[in-house]
Amino acid sequence: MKSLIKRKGPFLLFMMLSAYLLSAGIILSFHISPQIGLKSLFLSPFATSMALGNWLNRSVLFMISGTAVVYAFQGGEFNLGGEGQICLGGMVAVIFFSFMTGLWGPAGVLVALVLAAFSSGLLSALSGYIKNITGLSEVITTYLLSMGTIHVSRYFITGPFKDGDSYLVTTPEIPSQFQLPELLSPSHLNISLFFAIFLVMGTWLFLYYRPAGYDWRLCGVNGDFAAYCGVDRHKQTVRTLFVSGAVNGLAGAILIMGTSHRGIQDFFSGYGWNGMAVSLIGGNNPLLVIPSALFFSHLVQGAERLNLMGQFTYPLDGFIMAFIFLVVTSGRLHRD
Amino acid sequence: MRGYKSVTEQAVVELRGIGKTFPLNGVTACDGVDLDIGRGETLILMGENGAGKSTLASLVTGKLKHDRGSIRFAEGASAGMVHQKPLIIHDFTVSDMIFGGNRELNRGLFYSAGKEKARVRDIFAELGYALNPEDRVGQLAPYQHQLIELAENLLMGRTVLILDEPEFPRLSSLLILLKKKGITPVIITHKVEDALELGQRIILMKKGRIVLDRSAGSDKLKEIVLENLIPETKKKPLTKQESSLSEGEKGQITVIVGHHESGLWDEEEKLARDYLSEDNGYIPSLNRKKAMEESWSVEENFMIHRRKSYTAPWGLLRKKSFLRDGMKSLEEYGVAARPGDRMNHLSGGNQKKLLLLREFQRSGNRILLSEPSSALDRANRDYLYNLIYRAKDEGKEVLMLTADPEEALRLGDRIIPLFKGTRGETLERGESNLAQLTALMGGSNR
Amino acid sequence: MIESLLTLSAPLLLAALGGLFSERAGILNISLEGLMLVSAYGALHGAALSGSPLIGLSAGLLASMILTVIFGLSSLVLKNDPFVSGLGINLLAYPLVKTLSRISYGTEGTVRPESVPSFGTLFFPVLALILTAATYIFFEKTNPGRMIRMSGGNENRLREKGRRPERVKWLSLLLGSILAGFSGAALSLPLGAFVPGISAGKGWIALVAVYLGGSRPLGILPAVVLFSLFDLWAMNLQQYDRIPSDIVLAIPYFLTLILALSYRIVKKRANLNENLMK
Repeated sequence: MKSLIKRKGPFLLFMMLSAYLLSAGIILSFHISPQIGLKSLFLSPFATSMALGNWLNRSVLFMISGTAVVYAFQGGEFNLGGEGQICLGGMVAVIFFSFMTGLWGPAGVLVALVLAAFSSGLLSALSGYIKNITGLSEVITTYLLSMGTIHVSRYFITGPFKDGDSYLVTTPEIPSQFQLPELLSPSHLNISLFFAIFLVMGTWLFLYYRPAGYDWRLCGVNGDFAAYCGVDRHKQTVRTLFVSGAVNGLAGAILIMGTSHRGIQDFFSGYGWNGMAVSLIGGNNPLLVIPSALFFSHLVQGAERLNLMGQFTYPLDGFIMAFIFLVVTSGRLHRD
Repeated sequence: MRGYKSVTEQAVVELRGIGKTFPLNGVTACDGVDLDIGRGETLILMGENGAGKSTLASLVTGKLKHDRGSIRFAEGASAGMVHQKPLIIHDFTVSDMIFGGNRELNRGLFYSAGKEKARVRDIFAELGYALNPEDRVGQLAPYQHQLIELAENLLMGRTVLILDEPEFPRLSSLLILLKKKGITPVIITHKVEDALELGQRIILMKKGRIVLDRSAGSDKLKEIVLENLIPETKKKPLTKQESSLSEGEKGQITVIVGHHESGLWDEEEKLARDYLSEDNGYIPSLNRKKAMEESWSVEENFMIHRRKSYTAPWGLLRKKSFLRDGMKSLEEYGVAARPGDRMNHLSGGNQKKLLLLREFQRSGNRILLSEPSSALDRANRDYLYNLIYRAKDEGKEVLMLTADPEEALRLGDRIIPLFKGTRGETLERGESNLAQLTALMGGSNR
Repeated sequence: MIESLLTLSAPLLLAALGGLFSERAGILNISLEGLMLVSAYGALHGAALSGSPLIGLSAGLLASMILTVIFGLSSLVLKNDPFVSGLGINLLAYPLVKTLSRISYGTEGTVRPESVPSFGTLFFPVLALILTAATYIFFEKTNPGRMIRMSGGNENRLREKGRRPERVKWLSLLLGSILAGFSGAALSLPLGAFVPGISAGKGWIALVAVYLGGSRPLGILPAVVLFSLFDLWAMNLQQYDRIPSDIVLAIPYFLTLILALSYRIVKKRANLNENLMK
C-alpha cells in the first residue's frame, strides 16, 4: 500500500494538477470571470448536498466502469467497447424489468444484475474469440461491436419500448421496487456506493491475492513469462474480455436502477470513455480507481455546471479527457 | 608501434592498438589489438564466446567506434560484414532486402525493380548459387540469409568481407571466387577443422587480445590451436561432494555442451516444451525476461510457481506463510532481497540466484538449466554448483546446456557434445578430457 | 447503382488507404475516425467560407494533418501507447468539431451552409481510384515507400542502414493523414452538409478493410467494394422494406465483423485444401 502510493501517487497528482490547470486555463482564455468560472468549476460539487450526492454518485459509476477497464488492461487487452457494453447492460435491465413488473424488488435487482453482466460479458468476450481465431485486434472489434449494439439499443428506445406519454425519447420508468434506495435525497446517490467499494476491494484482492489474479496480471505484463508459467494465453484473453465486459454490464444496470430509472436515449454516454480515463490515470491499479474516479467526476461535474449556467457552453470535459489520453501512458512520464 | 607507418602494398587494413570499452557495463572487449590484414589472404579469427571477435569485426566495419588506436585502410578498400544471423524482414523479396534503404545502392525517389532484380540475379550467378531475387526472405534457409548479405556487400563494393560463422555450402570454392574478385575474406569460426582447411592465417583472440597468430601449414598447428582454445583452468581443485545417499538412489547430471553457433538455443527450445508441461525446474538462458518480470516485486516473482499451493480453495493467497517458508530459504542462501523490493532493483547476480533457488525448489523430478553460470561471479558459481549437487543428491535428474567444456567436465555424469545441431556420442564421466571435448565441440571426430 | 456504389466507396477507400500507411509502418492507427471527422468539418467550413471546393479540400487536409502531428507528438515523441494516443485523437475530434461549429454556426448539430461549392459527383471516386494506384506505386516502386515497409517489418534493419525509423514513421503518418483528410472531405463536400455522426464508424471499418486486404492497396479495393455493396443493400432495406433506421445503421458494424470472420474461415479451408493437395 505504501509503496503503491510512492510509486503511482506522484503521477496521479501530476495528472490531476495538469488537468485542473488546463481547464482553468481554457476557461480563463474564454474571458469568463475567474470568480464565477473557477468557483463553479472547483467548488460547485460542494455547494449543496444534492450536488455533493450527484458528484459521489457519478464517482461510483466511474469506479465501476473504471474497474472494468482495470480488468482489461491488467490482462493486457484493450477494451474500447465500454460505451456499448454499459448500454447493453442497461438495456437488458430495462427490458427485463418491463416484463417482470410483479417481481419482488431485491430478487429482480439481483437477476437483472446477473443478466446484464452476462450479456455484456459475452459481447466483449466475442472480441477475444475473434482475436484468437482471426488475429484481428480486439482494439477494433470491441469498438465495432459496441457501436453496433448502441444503434440496436436506440431502436429499442425509440421503437418497441418507447414511453408514449413522455416528451423525452425514453422508455417508461422502471417499477419502483427495482429502483435502488437513495442515500442522500434528493441527489442520485444510492446504495450502489457500497457495491462499488466492494467491487474495487474485491478486484484488488482478486488480482493480487488469488492465483487466477496472478495469471491475469502475468498475461498483461509479460506474455513470455506467462507462457513460461504455464498460462493458456488464448483462454485468458477471452476470460479477461468477458470479465471486463461483465463489469461494464453491471455499470449499465446500476446506472438504470440507481440514477436514470429509465432508458433515456444515450443514457450511457461518456461513462465508457470516462472509465477508461479513470483507470489510466490510476495506472490501472484497482485501488487507485477510487481517488481517480473522485477526481475525474469532480472535473466533469464542474464542467457540466459551467455548461448549465450558460457560462461556458463548450465541451470542456471532452478536451480534458482527450488531453489525458494523449499523455497518460507516456513512457517519458513514467519512471518504471 | 602506433604511428603513421604507411599501408604497405600487402596490407589492406592496418589496426594499431585498437581498444574498445563499453561504457554501459564497463567491459573491455578489445584491448590493444595490432593486426595487419594482407590483401587477398584468408584470415581466420577464432576464440571463445566473449573473446572480442565480434567487437573487433564491428570496429573494422565501422559499426562501432573504437576508443583507442587507429584503423587505416589501403586506398579504395572498405570492410563489410556478413552476420551469422543477418537481420531480415520476412515478407520482403531478396532484392528488396538488398536494396531497401541502402544509400549506397540507390538514390532518388523511384527505384527500378527490374534493374535491381537483374543485378541480384547476376551476382548470384557469378557466385554460383541459385537464388531467385523474387523469393520471400522469410522462406529461405539461414545460409541463404547470409548469401543475401554477402551479395549486398559485393554490390556495395566492399573489399574486405568479414564472414561470421559462414554456413555456405561449398565455402572453399566461394572463397576462391571472392579472391579472384580481389576480395579479402576474414572468417570468424568455431569449427577447428574448417579453420585449418580454409585459412591461410589463423588469429586467436582471448579476453580482447590476440594470443596466437600463425600462418597455415606451420608445425602442429592443430594442437596449438586446440590448446589455446581450451579455457584457462580455474585454480580451485574440483571437490567431490559428500552425500548421504548411496549411488543408486541419486539422480544424474547430464550436460549437453556446444557452441551457441552449433544450435545450443534451438536445443533449449526443443527441450523446454517438454519440461514446462510439469512442475519441473527450468532456467532459460539469456532471455531473462522469460523467467521473471522485472517490474514485479521479489515476492511475486519468487512465489509464482506456488501461487496455487499457498491458497485455500476459496481463500486468499497466504503471503504470510509463504514468506515464512520461502523468504527464509532466500536468507539461508544469502540472497540479499526484501520481499517488497522490485526485481530490477536487485543486482544481476542476486536476480539469478533467486531464479535458481525458485527453480530448484519445484516439485518435479527434473531440472533443465541453460547456461546457468553465465553472468555469475566465482562465488555465485560455487553456489550454483552446490545447488546442482544437492539436487542430484535429492534424486533429481539435472539436464544442463552449456558452452563451457570445463564446466561440463566438472559437473557432468554424462556429457553430450553438440555440433551443428546434432548430438554426438554420449561420454560417461572420466571418459573425456578438456582437449578432446573442445575438439568435439569444434566438429572433430573422436 | 454503380454511381451510388462509387460515391459510397470513395470515403471508405480513402480512409483505408490512410490506415494502410500507418499499418505498413507498424502502427495500428485507430485515430482515422477522428481524422475523418475533423477533415469533413474542415473541408465543409473551408469550402463554404471561401466559395472554392479546392480551398475547402485543403482545409480538410490541413485539419487532418494537424491532428496527426498531435498524434505523432504523443506516440512517437512522448512514447505514449499508440492505441491510447489514437483514442485521444478521436476523443479530441468530437469536442473540437462541436466547439468550432458552435462558434461559427451556433449549433452543435447538423451544419448546412447556404451554398457549398462542390466537385462533380465523380471527383472523389476517381480521386480514390487514382490514389489507390498511387499508393500501390508508392509502396512498390519508390524508395520512401520501401523504407516505410521496412520500418514496419524490422526497424533495426532500417537502423542498420543508417536511417532513423522515427522519421520514416512520421512520414508515413503524415502521408496517411492526407488520405484520411481526403476521405473526410469526400463525406461532407458531396453532401454539402456536416452531420455530427458523419463518419459513422468508417474509420474503424477501414481498418478492418486493411486487415482483409492483407495490407495491400490492391487487396483493400475489393474489401471496400464488398463493404460498400452491403452498405448499399442496407440503405435499400431502409428505403423499401421500412426497416428502422437505427437497425440499418447497426448493420455495417456487425457485418464487417461477420465478413472478417468468414474470410478467415474460408482462407483456413483453402490453406487446408492446399496442404492436402501437396
